Amino acid sequence: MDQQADEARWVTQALAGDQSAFTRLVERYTGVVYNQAYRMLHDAQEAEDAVQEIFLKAYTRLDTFDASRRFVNWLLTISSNHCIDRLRRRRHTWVTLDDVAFWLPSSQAGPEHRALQRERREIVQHALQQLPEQYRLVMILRYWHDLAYNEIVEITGLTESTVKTRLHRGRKMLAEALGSDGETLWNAETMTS
Amino acid sequence: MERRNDDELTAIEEQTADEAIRRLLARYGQPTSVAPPPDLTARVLARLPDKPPAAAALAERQRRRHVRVLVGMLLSVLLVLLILGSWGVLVNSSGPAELLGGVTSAVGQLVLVLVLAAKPLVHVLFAPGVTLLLPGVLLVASAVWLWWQLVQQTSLAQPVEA
Repeated sequence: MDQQADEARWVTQALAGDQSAFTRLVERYTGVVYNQAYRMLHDAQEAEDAVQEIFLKAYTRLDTFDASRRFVNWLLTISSNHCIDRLRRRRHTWVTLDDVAFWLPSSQAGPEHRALQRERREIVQHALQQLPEQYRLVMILRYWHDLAYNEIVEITGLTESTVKTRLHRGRKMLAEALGSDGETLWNAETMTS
Repeated sequence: MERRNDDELTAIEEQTADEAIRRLLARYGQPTSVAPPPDLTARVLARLPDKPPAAAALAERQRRRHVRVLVGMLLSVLLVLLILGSWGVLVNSSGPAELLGGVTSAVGQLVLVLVLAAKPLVHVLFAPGVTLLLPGVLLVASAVWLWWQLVQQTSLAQPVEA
């Protein structure tokens, strides 16, 4: 039986009160949702909170799931909306707790180690944060989740033309955000290819 | 295919740009997948309600409705007390009761009791000390909230890694 049929069956079982069926869906997609939330929010703790809230929303709205759709796309729709809501709410936050609680011991690695890790792994992640959230979303769905245009259309509710426009601008913005290095590479690639 | 504006690429241009950004990302070692914390699935499952989805959704809707009703009632009671108290302070205490059957009727006596109970509240609101008291209360409430958030964020049970 294929994955989509499996998931449709699990949804039906979960709707009938079988918690273990929904557990299978959570186990399968925690990583996908976490990655989406982390790329959008750029904060591991906030992404963890978001993942819990997203699955809670998915659970209480499970009856709205259309079995003809892929479950992951439906979940990413909830996740995308939730992350955008969080980003909008974040604009109203004057100061984060991390800003004021700098004296507290951290469970993460030391600052030098963190800086090195960040430099190595997160240059693109930082650049991604400079994109407006609507552009960031389509870029993440396209290049990190490797989704086709029609799937991005389905998740975001945008038209294909808008998705393409946002991707086009998003690509340019990302290359610019990566600095002169990224911009030069981008220009060379698009000119020569 | 012809393009209609600068942001609309032809299929070939679209593919070229797509491949170019993928190559650019690859140079930075992206896209990569971020591993979620190992206990995240367990935490997600622990937060799910015990009820089936439909019942959980219904319970959530009811809870929200109850909260809205409760807040509405609380605000209404405060507003009524404020109006009655202000009337009692600025006009007279028996005025509202007179409108509702006089001070000898049961309803009138209840309203009179409310006016008399609300008058000290209105006096407190207009007292000069409140201007000093209010920021103090807000400061204490903010400090308590901040302390609680910090306690929640710091896991004292787990040893801190070096």
